[in-house]
Amino acid sequence: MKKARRPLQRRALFVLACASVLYGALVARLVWLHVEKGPTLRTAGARQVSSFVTLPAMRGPIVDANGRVMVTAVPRYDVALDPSLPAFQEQAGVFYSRYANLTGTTAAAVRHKVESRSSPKYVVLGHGLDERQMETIRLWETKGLIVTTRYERRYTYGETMAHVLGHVGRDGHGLAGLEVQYDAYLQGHNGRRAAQRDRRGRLKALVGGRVVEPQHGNTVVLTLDLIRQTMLEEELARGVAETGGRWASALAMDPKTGAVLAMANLPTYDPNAAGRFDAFHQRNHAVTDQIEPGSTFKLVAAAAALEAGTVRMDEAIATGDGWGVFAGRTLRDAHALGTVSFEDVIAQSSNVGTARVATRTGKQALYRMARDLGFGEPTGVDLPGEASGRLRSLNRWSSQSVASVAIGYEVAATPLQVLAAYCALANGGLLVTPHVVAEVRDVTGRVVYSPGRDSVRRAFSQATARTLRPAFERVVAAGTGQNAQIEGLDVAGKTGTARRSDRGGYVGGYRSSFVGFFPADNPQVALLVVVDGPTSSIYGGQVSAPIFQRIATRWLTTLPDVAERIHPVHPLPAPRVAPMPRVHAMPVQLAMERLRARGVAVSPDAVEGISGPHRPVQQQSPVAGAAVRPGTPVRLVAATATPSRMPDLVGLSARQARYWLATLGVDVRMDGAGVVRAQSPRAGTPLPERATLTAR
Amino acid sequence: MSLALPIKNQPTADRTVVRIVFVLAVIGIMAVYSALAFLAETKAGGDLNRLLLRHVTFVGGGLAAMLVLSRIDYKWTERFAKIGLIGSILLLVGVLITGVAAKGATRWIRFGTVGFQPSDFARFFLICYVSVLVARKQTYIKDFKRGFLPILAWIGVTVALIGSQNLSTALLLLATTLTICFIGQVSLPQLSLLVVGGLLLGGTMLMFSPARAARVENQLGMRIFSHTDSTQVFDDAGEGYQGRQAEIAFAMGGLGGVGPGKGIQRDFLPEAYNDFIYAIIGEEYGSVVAVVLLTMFLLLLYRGFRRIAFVARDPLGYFLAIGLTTTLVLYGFVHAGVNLGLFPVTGLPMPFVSFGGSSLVTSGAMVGVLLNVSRHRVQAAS
Repeated sequence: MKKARRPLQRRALFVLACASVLYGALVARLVWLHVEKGPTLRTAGARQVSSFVTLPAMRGPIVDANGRVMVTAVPRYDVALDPSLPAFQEQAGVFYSRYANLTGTTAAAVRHKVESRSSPKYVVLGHGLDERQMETIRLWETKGLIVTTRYERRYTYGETMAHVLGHVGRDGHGLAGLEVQYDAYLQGHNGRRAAQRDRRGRLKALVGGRVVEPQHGNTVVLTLDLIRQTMLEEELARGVAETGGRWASALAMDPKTGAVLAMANLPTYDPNAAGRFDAFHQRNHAVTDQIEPGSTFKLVAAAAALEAGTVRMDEAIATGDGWGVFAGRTLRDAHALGTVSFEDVIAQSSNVGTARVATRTGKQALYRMARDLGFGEPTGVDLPGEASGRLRSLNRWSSQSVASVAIGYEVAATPLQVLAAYCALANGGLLVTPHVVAEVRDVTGRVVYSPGRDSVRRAFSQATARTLRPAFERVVAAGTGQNAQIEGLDVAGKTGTARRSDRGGYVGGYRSSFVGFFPADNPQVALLVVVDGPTSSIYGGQVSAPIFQRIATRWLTTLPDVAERIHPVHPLPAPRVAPMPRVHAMPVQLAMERLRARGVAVSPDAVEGISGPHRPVQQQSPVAGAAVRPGTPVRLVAATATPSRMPDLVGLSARQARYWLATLGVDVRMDGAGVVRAQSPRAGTPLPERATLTAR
Repeated sequence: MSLALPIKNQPTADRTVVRIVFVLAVIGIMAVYSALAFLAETKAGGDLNRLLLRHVTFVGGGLAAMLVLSRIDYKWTERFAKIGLIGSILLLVGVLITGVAAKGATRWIRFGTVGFQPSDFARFFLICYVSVLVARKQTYIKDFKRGFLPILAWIGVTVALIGSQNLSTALLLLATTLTICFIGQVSLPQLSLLVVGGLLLGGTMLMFSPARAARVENQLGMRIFSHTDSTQVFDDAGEGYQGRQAEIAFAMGGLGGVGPGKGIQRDFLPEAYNDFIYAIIGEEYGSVVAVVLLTMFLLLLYRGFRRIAFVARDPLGYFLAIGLTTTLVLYGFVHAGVNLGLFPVTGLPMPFVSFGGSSLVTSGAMVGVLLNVSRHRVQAAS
């Protein structure tokens, strides 16, 4: 027995040894899990149980130039239900009738909805309940309700400004207009509250857990004003109702700063229900459509000729019997004009005359001027989907191209590009960047974004602008644009009538436009109206100029200083005594503005020395601080050199201050809007490269 | 002294083994209590106290089975093991047929509210019967036809039947019987037949079950089979999920544990109260207790081999002690190995610790027989 067991025990001991090795391996594995993988595993373990409940951020509002809320976020509630809860079933009947009352259905309908649900424990009752409805539902204390809060976008004025504002998608992100362009500023950051999560994804509230408050979106402040926009939209709608047309655009800019004052298209849509409108209704033609500008483009030819010195305004141009052949192409005028001055060529919109001068000027100069005026490249407006227009490079021009381009064919431009070019004419030759957002402020009011430099480049000299402007005033006064006349106000502008083209081919019908600015001597508004395919008439002077005229007339009420020029009101007696402000070293025109702002009457002929608005004041009389009474002679002596010191800008309007510093070559960073309250650097310090102004 | 006396002189069973079983059961009840919390929460109408009571009842049932069997001379196995095994095989076939009829694998036979796995019966009786056969055939064990072949046939039929439903149980049973045969002097070339058979069974099962194959691949860290769902392999959310969660449990527990009932991994581990009870112990009571638990099994192994088998009064006692000890310890170690990520994930209970009546009662019965063997030992003086 014992002998037999020896080998048995040997194998048994071998098994015992193997098992002991397994034991050792298990213990070693345990140690390894702790020492080697411990930190990683612990991190993973801690992470998988910690979860967050999202606290939604509110999308920022969009307000107009005067702070009126155009777009805002309103809380909306989605209500779902777990009807399987016994606690709910007890009160189901009461709940159905209450809920039906609240939402305007019948209890039977609600019951049917719940009973025909596809998921046993979940049924959606309603989307987008408002705050008041939710308050009521909360009072019922119904068990089993699942309420999800979200913010919905509300466009306060419906279709007004629709194409500028754009709209958001279901996920709350921008899909069009500013909503998409400034999405990053508007959306904010969701907050979160720590919670614990188990394997089934159920969240357990965590008392004392970390809470990250949501960061609500920023406020976008527009350069557009609701009142002006409404007037423009009304007049555009009225005009198109009279003239007919597939679509129409009207847009206005401040020619000095490039701020868009209003922008509208027809047809339009309601961003509150964007899904119900097709892409054509949602299209912002003003920036996305590139059309052949036609006669409005003659500005380019005229400016190029003047800059090149190939024509004088009073030079006689032979237009003959109203037709001429250019490199084999025959151009015609609407009426035979005979031999007229170049000014009348513009005023009467002679194709033959313009082509003749352009041919003389040459294609290089014409092309360069078109480039300099921003054609063929996006203006850089802060709206999505901007088209760049089409300006073919010189080597692709045919022999006919000079004549064609001069009268606005063979090129394509967005309405905004055309308007920007006329802004250059209005402001003395500077191409400005159009923008619709004045600034972006965070919830505390701090400015987090404001548009950069106003002007892109100088397209032509001030002298050219000064020389050209009367021709465009004559368009309205005695030319093709007489329908744009406003009594007592000088308006400059240009009509345009171009055949409708689409993707390189003419499709029948015309596009009629009118672009202009007023007051002609100190332009504050540049305005363009274009109607696609009008039926009452084809001519810009007949179709678009009247719309321009009516918009401009109504806008005068929003421009008090312009309105005053037309209907002077007797000024209130000046304050009897005003202290003379210090205007030393200020540009003359700025100094005069300053004096007027402080109640010191000053006439333009009070300035002595070399005249020019940019010259700094070298001497003033009376001295700073002295009392000035009505009748006290005020005299300023201008220096011969351009200013080299920082002027005192406090008290001026932000727009003026910005403009003046721009003419001195100083970059401006403007905090706020309205009237300048503070400036950096101080007045009197050498001119900086960059200045910061605070306005309120 | 006299050879006839030892039975009367040593009537007491091995107290150490009894103590080990008690330690395991107590730790088990504590761990199951917290692991069950999740089950009670999610199962509709689940009542934690009722479930715990059920567990304690089954622990009691296991101890009762242990007590009863420790009082019955293990010689009953010579006569009844074969009958029990044949009965178990019939039950297995029955389960297989009803399972096919119900279009799904089932391992359970229900008597009212109490379910029982025939594979547990089969496990117990096969080990007993193989021990009986090996002991009986000791003189001609090297003769393949007379000695090993009949044993092989019984093992083959039982293991194949269990294996068609539950691969891991079958493989552990195979390993246990292999150990008995190995120690029982079966010639090594013949034994290798058993090993080959085991590999064939395992391979076939893996071919037919992509999920199972994926688990094995994940454990090995390489792709072997073409039919596995490649998105599941190596993915923490897929097949690697359970193993990783168990590892996290040990890491979170540290040396001293996070404290009873404070663990969170039970929410992430499937059937934590059963298949992953060791991980729960590691998390809530710490690695010290986890090592103590393992050491209990090692102690049981040494006790069963050296203090019971080696001094058993006859070859039958010797092989019964070897076989029963081996299967209990193997379950304990493999369960721990799965939890520690050393073996592919499979649902094996830890004897006396895991929740589950079938396993508890079977383990109790096994220890009962083992204790009875310990009552009949040759004189220690020999």
